[in-house]
Amino acid sequence: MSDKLFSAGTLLPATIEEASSLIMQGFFPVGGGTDIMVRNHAMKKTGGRVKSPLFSCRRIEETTGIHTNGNILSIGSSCTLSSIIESSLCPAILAESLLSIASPGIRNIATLAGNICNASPAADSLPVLYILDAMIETAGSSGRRSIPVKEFITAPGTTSLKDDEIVVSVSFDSSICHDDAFRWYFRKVGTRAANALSKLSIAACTLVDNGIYSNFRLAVGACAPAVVRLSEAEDEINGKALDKGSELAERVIPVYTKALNPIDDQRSTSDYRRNTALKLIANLLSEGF
Amino acid sequence: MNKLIKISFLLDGRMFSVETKSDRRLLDILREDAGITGVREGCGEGECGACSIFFNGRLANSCCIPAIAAEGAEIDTIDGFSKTEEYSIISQAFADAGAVQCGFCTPGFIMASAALLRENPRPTDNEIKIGLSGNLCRCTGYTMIIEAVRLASGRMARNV
Amino acid sequence: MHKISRPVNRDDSKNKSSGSAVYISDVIKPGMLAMAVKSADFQHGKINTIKKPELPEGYFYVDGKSFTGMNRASIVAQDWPFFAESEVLYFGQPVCAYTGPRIEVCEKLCIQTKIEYTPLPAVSVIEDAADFFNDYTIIKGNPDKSFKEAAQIFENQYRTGMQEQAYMEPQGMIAEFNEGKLTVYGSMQCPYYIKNSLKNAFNLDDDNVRVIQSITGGAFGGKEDYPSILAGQAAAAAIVSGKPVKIVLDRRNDMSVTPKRHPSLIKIRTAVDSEGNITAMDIDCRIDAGAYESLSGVVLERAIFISTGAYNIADVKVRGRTMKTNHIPSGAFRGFGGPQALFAADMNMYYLARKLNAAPLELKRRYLFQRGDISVTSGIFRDDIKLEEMISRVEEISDYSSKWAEYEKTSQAGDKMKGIGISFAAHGGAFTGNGEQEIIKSLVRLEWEPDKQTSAGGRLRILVSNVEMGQGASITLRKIVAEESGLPLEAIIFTNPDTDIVPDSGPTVASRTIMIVGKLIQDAAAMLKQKIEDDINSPSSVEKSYVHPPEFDWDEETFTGDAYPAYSWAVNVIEVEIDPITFEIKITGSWAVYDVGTPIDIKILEGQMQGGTAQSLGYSSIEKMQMINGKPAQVSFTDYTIPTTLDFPDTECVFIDNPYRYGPFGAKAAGELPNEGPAAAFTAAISQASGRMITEIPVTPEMLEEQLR
Repeated sequence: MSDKLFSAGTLLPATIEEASSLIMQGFFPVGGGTDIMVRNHAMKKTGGRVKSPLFSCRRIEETTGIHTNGNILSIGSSCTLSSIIESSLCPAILAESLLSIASPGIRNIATLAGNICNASPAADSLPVLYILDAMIETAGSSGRRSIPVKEFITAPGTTSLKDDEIVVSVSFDSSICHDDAFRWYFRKVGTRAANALSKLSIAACTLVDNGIYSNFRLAVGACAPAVVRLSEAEDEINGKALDKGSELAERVIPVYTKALNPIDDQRSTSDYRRNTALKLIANLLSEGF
Repeated sequence: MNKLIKISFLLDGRMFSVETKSDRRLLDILREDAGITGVREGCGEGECGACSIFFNGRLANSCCIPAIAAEGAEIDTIDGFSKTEEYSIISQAFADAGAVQCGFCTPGFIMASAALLRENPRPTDNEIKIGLSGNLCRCTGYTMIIEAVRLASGRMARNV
Repeated sequence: MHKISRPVNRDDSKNKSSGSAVYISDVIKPGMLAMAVKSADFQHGKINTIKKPELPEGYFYVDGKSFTGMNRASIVAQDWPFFAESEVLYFGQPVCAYTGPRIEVCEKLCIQTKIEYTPLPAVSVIEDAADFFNDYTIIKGNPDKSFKEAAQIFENQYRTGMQEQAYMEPQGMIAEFNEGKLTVYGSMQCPYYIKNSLKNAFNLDDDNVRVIQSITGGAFGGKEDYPSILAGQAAAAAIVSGKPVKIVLDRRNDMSVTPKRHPSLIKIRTAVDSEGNITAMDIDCRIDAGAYESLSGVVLERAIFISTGAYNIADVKVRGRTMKTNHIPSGAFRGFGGPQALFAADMNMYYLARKLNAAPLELKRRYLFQRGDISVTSGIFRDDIKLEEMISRVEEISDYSSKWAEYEKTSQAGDKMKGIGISFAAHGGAFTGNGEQEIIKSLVRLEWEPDKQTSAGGRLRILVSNVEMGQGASITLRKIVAEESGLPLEAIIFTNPDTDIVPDSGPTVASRTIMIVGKLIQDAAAMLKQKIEDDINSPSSVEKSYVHPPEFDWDEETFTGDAYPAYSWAVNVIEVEIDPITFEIKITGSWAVYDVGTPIDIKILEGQMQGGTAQSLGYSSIEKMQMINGKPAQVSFTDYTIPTTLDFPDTECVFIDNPYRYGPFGAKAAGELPNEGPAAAFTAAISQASGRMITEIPVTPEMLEEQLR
C-alpha cells in the first residue's frame, strides 16, 4: 500500500491552528464521531460521500470541560453528553433533553457539539439550546466567532461553520435557570420509549412572577426545516397571567400553525407532527407550567 | 489522502497497536485485527448494543467509535472482562435467570449490566431498564435479563 | 405438573455470555473470499443491459448463469431465483454478485455495476393485485343457507402490516467446493431445505452436498427461507472462484432483501339470526405474497385453517389467496399466517360484541371451541379444551372483567383513555395438512457411545436436523432423552446438525421440534435404553421415523379433515393507556394463560412466551414497515423500532396442565403460540380506550390522531 503512515498524534491536534491546518488538508473534525461513523458506514455500502479522514479535537484544551464565567455556562465541544448530564452546572432542562438522546453507550461518546453540527431538524438538544439563546463559539485561522445557535444552523444538515473552523464550545446565560421563578418544560415524542429518534419535540421555559409570565420562550423541534421559535408568539404571552392560559393558547396557536411545516417520513407524518405539537403547546399554556 | 495511522490503546489491560485508517470502526479493529469476535455486530449504527465495550471505563458502542478516538484510550471488551470475578457473578445470574437465548446480544448485555452495577450497585427495576435501554434483545422480551441484573446486584452485595 | 417441567440451566449460556460462541460472522477459512450482491434498485422491469466494471485480479462475477442446475431455490415452491434473469420483479432483488479477497472491493464493484431496465407496471398493495399464486376455498356446513336466513349481516375488514423478524444475528453463510463436494456452513433453521435446494441448483447428488448449521443468533422464521437463497449465492461464488466464500449481510442489507411477515387484508361477513346468534361467516383472506410464491401457499393454508380463530362457527366459507405484488417475497415468521387470521377473527368477535351490545368476553366465550367441535376444515377437536379454566386463571391474575367494566364507564365519559382487551388463540402444532406424514417424514437417530471414563458409562448422542436457534431445542431435547433413558443430562449430547451425520428429521419450524421430533426421540430413547441395559459396553443406535396417528384424517385435495393433530391454546389480556394529547400508547399490563400440554422446561417456556409476546406487541404497535413504491422505508434498527427494555411491561405467564397423548411427556406446540393472541387483545384494549373500532395493526399514534382528531 502506497499510503504513508501518519502518527496518531498528528490527528490529535492540541491547538486551534493545528486543527485548522488539518481541515484545510481535507480532514474532518469529530467530537465523539458517533453520527459520522453511522453515516459513513451507510455511505460506504451505497457509494455515497464518506467523511474521511477524521481527526479528533479532544486534546485542544479549550474544547474540554464545563465552566462558568459569571452567569455564562460554557460547555466544551469535546464534552460527552454523559459528562454534561452528570455535571452539577448543567441546568435540568438541558440534562433532560440530552438524556432523551440515544442510549447510555452512545451518550458516553457523543458530544453536544456533534449533535449541533449535524444540524438535524430533529436533533434533541436544539430546542433547548434555542430557548436558552445558546451561542456557538467557533475558532479557525481567521479568528474566533460567537454565533447564536439559530444563525449557526442554516439549513437541515448545514451550518455556518467556515471551512477552517471548529466548534470550540457552546455557551449560554444560565442564570435564568437558577431563578426561583424559573419553570421549564421538555417533551419529546419519539418512535418508542427509549433509544428513539424524535417525531417532534418541544422545549419551553419561563419566569413566573405573581402568576404573570415573563421571559417566556418556546421552541419546537422536527416540525420544520429548522427549530421553530417565534418571538411574535412569545411577546403575546409575556406579561400575561398564567391563569389566562386558554385565551393565550387561542391567540398564539394560529401563529405557531403558520410556522410549522413538518414533513412526512419513515418515522411519522406531517399532520401528526403539526397537530401534536400544537396540542402540546395549547395544553402547556392552558395547564400552566 | 486517506493515509494510515498507527494507533495504540490499552486493550483488556495490554498495549495494542494497529495501523489503520482514522475513520475505521473500533468494532472492526477489535474483531478483525485483535480477533475479539465476542464483540458482535448486530446493526452497525449504535442501536443494538451488541458491540458494547468499556471505553475509558464507561459503556460504549464500538461500532460508533472511529479509530482516532481510540488512541490512548483504555478499552475493555467481553474477552478481558469474562476473566473477572464481576463477570462470573453476572454471567451466572444470566444463566440462572434464563436470560440467554440465542446469545448474540448477551455479551453486550453483560457489559451494559456491569456498567450499570458499577455506577449503581442497587438499581431499581426502572433504573435497570434505563441502564439496559441501549441494548436490543429479540428473544427474551427482557423480563429474564432484568431479573438477571437484579440477581447479580443481590449477589454482589452479599459478596462485599 | 410433570417433574420434567422443572427448570434446568441451559447448556449454551456460558459460551454465549463470554463471547466465545462462534457465529458464522466469526469464522475465517484459509483463502476465504468475501462476497457482495448487487441488488436491483428498480421495482419491476425488464433487464436490458448490465454494465459491469472491469474485474480486478482475484475477483469473480456470479449471476444466474453460474448455476449448473436450476437458478431457483427450492422453498416449497421452486420459483424464486438466486439471481434475477431477464426481469427484476422487486426492489432489492439480487441481480449478480462479486466475490474476491476484500469486501470493500466487492461492494464497490456492485456500486459500479449499472443496470438498465425497461419499466413494467408494478403492483405495490394487496388491493391493486390482480394475480395470485394460490386460491383456496373451504366450506364448513352450509353458509349459503345461514346467510339467506340471517336476520342481520355484519361486514368488516381487518388489516395487518409487514413485520421484520429482526433476529439479532444478521444472515450469513460460508460455502466451499472441494473435489466435487459442496459444503455450506451458516445461520439457519432448516439444514435439509438448504441441502435440497443446493442439489437442485447445481445438479449434485446427495453425497456431494453437505450443510452444517453454525450457532444461530435468532431466527423466528426468518432463517427458514432466505438461507437457501444465500447458500445458493455463496455456493455459486465458491464454485466459480474455487475458494471458500463467505457472505454476511450487514443489517441494512439484511432488512432490505430478506422476507418479512405477510401483510394481510381479511374481510369478514357475519350472519346473525333473529335471536342474536352468530350462525355463519364468509371470510375473504388475502395475504401479500410479494413477487414469488416461495412458501406463501403454506402460510395461507395455516391462515385459512384457523380463520374463525378460537371460535366455533357452524357454517363457514373461507376463500384465501396469496396475492402477487412487486416487492420482497414474504416469508416465514413465527406464527406463519396464524397471527394475521387470529387478529381478524378475534377483532371481528369484538366488533360483533359491540354491534350486538354484548360485553366482548361474554360474546366470545359463547363460541369458544370445545372438545368434539368441528374445525373450519371439518376436523375434530379430539382433546380436552380448557379455555374456561384458562379464563378463570386470567381473571385472577389480571382482574380483566372488573377493569373492563370500569374503563367502559370512564371511556364513555371521555375522561382518561384506558382500555383492556382479551383475546383467544389457537395454534395447530406441527406441519400443516399432510406435511408431517407425506412430505417431511421425519427420521431421528440416537447413538450410544460407550465410555468407561464417564459415570454414565458412555454418551447418548441425539442426531436430528432440528436446530438450536435460541429457543432452547438443545436443552429441551436433551431433557426428554435423559428423562426417558434414565441417563444423567450430562450424558446426553446434542450438537449443531451436519447433514453428513444427522438424518432428516425435518425443518425447525411450525412448533414441531418438541411435539413431533421430541416424541420421536423419546420413543427412540426408550428403545435404546433397552439396548444399553442389555450391553452397556457396545455401541448401539436406534432410528425412529414418523408415523401419523391413525385417527387423524386429511385430504390435501379438498383441505378436509384434521389439519393438525393437536392444538395449543392461549388467552391474552392486555391493558393500555393512551395519552390524550399525543396519542402515544403505553401498555400497562400483560397477562397470559397457556395450554401447551406439558411444558418441557418451565423457564424455557416462560422465555418463549415473554419474548414472543414482546414481538407480538411490537407487531401491534411500534413495528411499522412500509413499502413505498415497492421499497421498504424502514431498513435499519434506527427506523424500524423493535421493543427496548422500556417499551412493554413484563408478561405474567401461567401454564395450565393438559397433557397431550402423542406428545413427549404430554408436550405440544409452544414456540409460536405467544405470537398469535396479543395483537387482538391489544387492539381490543385500544378500541375500548379510544372509543373507536380499530381494525388495523400496527396501531400508531399517527393513526389514532387521524381518527380522533
